Amino acid sequence: MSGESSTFKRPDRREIRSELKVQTTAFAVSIFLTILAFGAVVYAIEQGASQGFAVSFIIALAIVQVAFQAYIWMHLKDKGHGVPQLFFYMAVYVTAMTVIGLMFMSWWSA
Amino acid sequence: MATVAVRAESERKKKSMLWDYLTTVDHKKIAHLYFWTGLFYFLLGGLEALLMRTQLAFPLNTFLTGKSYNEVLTMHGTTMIFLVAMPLLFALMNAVVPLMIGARDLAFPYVNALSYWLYFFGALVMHIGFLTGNVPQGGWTGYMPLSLPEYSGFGMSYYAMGLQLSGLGTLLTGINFVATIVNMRAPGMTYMRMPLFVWTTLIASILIMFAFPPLTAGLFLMIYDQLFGGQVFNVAGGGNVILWQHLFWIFGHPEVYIVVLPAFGIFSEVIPVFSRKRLFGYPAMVVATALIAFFGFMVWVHHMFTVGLGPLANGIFAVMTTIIAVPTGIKIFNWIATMWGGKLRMTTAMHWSVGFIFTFVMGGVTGVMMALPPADYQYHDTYFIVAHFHYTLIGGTVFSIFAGAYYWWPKMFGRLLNETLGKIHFWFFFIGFHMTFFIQHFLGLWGMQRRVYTYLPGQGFDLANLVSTIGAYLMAIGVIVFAINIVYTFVKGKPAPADPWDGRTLEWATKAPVPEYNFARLPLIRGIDALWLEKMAGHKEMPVIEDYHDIHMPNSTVLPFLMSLTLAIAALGFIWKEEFNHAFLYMGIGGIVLTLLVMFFRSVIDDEGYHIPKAEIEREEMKGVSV
Amino acid sequence: MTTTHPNAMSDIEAHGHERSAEGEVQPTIELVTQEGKNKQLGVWLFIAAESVLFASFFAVYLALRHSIPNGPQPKDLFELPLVFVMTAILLTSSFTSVMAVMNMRQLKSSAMKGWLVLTWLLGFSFLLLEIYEFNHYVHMGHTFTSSAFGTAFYSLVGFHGAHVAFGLLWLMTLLLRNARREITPYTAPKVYSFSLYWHFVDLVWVFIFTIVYLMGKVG
Ligand code: HEM
Ligand SMILES: [Cu+2]
Repeated sequence: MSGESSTFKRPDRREIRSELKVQTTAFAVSIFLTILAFGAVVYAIEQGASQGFAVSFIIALAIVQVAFQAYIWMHLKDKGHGVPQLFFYMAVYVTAMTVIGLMFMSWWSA
Repeated sequence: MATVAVRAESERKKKSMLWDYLTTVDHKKIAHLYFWTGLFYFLLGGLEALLMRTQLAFPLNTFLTGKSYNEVLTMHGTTMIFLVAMPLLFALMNAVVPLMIGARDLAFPYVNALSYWLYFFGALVMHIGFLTGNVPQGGWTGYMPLSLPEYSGFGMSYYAMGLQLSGLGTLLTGINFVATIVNMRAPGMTYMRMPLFVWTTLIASILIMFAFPPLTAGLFLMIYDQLFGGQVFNVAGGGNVILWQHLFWIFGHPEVYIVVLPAFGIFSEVIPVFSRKRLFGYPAMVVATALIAFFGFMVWVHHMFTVGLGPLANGIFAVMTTIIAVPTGIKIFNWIATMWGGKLRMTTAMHWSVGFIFTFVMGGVTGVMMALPPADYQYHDTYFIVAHFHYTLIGGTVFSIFAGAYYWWPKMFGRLLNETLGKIHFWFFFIGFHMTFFIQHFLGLWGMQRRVYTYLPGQGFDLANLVSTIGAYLMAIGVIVFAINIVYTFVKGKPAPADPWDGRTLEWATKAPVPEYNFARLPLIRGIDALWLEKMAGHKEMPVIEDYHDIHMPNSTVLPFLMSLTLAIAALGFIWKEEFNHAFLYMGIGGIVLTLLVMFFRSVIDDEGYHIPKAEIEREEMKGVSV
Repeated sequence: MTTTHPNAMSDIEAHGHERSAEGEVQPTIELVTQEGKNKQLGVWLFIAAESVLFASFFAVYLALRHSIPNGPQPKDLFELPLVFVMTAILLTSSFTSVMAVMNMRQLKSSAMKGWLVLTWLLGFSFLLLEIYEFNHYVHMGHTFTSSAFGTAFYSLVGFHGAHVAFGLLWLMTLLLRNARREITPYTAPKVYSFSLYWHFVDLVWVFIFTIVYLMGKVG
């Protein structure tokens, strides 16, 4: 068996730099969205602002943050991730069905 | 750096058969394990069914007490769904799916062995209650609060722990088959060239991936409430008993498709071969399967129509349920169209297939009837339901397992089952089945409730119940004939040729018996029904993409067995700490620690596998021609 | 110089179609072997399944979060500063594991190990804070058995904590086993699998801090 291997790719300098930028940006965005969510809740408590709005706002922020992390940190954005992406969306679908269905129906019957 | 050992045949064959099967990671041997274990539980579950039917043969019968009837009822349902239907399908999937796509094994052979042993020990844990006197008796649906110790003792803890173990195995099997079918197909085997059994395996595996987790979550909560003071289903603590029903049926409805889609796949293999025609409407079959899976997650409340969730919830789920019946209907027409004008060969496998179409249509029709909530208020919890799901589960899944067994027996065990005995088996089982369950539709409509251990005379139930019981014994005779056939075949059966049925798909291009590496050289696939295509083009063998070379094989290992064993020890420890003595808590924790330890060994010991030398493969291949 | 694990080479050879055709983009190191590809897909499938497992616990929690016949209310329990610190730590550990993978792809072994050690330390401090937090709640009368809310809370958050703990054991094993080994197509998929898992654990936490803690204050 030949030990030599050049079949895989080592990213070149330019790629490394741009990838580093993207990944760090994702980190900054995550931290920013987190601060925004905590801030919104603190604000809502102190100002007595609409709590319904605060809830939908932070849930939206969570969804955005998760999408960011999945696509960038978990590399869904990269080539060859079609199948993982497909399963990611299937999971989103079943998750939504489960959570929404169960939540509403247990409220109605409660 | 170490190199992978090359191990010649003489070196490999030293193991005893027991040790070999205990440590194997070969999908063909794991198929055998699933098959024999599944068959064993089929006999056990069948015996439980006979006990129930014997009790119900006459009004106010005292053959079983109410308690023992509940126990037998619960064990029968749980066994048949989790320990028979799925494992026997896994047996067939393991046996032929890798061959059908031109792979040398599953994507994760080690995990495959782990899945089997988790099932093995899960089944064992579930039955330990027979020894400690706490047999599960809350029904296979485990409804709350009935399944708490206050109401039914610790039996349902064995149910929960056993299902948790075997469920983990099932989940891993699902992941394994998806990864295999996505990643391991031979060159040219595009998605739209895959045999339908591969498609239905893929989609059933996806359903497993997404349907089992809600069950796992529900079982965790059940176990917490039973053994660790949890309050989720305890109304006094603020709990909600309906949550269990939701979690169970979010799993439960997809589960019925998990056991019936592979059955559809098996018939879609058998019918074309014995009609000498390609499957009618292949793309429609694929799309219909995918649609069923998609809608499968939006219909669970049809099992809960009488809970009182209100007209809006019932209405939405009723509509979705009637929609899901459409793709199923499409499939029925495709099978009929495949047979239409074909050169039919009425082998045993084909008997089961035709019997299936007839039977399953009836199950589908009653399904749509129950999908309408106002009507379901009449049917719910009566024998009408019992009739419906036996028409789908036996008429679909069990018939398909028999069809698959007769069809693939030569691939799995190198011999042909006896066809005459096969037909006797079929007719006893088929007539017995309809005799047992057809009359139950009417029993249900007349008002006989399910899950009750006896009934009063003079309500018009007596004769129908007796007929039903006699039918059950006819089915039992059929199964005994099958058992005789198996023994007869092993003793007297002649070795089968590689391709006894004039097959169409790739598994029939492998040698008999299938060598452990499946394909000495990987084949090139040029269309649907790959082997048939080459036969029509006048070729004797599949074209190949490579020369002979050393083949890399995974090592066999005892770790999957140990990992499952230690988890079972943990499960029993946690039950016994409540059932007997608090000190068993340490056994539970110890089991977990041991499991982690086995996992640790698994990850630090490099498992590099070994090579089968090229010379040996060439020598083997010269012994016979594959087509 | 890099050497491929023999295992990996044989896989490449056994599956002729794996050889990257000319002009095609070459895969990164964790994806060159058939085993590597299978591992990556397998972990993704596992993650997809686990999402639904967590979804079920979330759903149960959402249904029961007001079911507190006795014991303190979420409003009085949760302390946002602590939760914020925990969140920041876990997010950062997810990012450090990204850095580990980037260095792995460049075959920078010691840098990769450095980032992984950092990931471990961050994960461990998260776990310590969570233990402190739970302990605090128990003293306030919010226990696993105190109410349906209590059971649902610990089932969800504790299950996540167990995932963190398991991840730490996994990472420790990886680091010990590979302390003296090069990055090869045989070892790279192991690191990559861990990093995917670790990101997922972080991803679940995003919903936990939103739905459990923040909504506990305003919902
Ligand atoms: C045409 C498609 C189908 C429809 C519309 C349908 C509809 C239904 C409905 C509405 C119920 C609940 C009745 C009640 O409890 O009141 C039910 C029960 C059941 N169905 Fe089906 N079904 C279909 C196909 C299947 C298939 C293919 C299987 C299995 C292979 C199956 C297995 C079951 C089982 C096991 C139950 C009873 C669960 C229990 O309470 O123990 N069904 N079906
Ligand atoms: Cu259903």
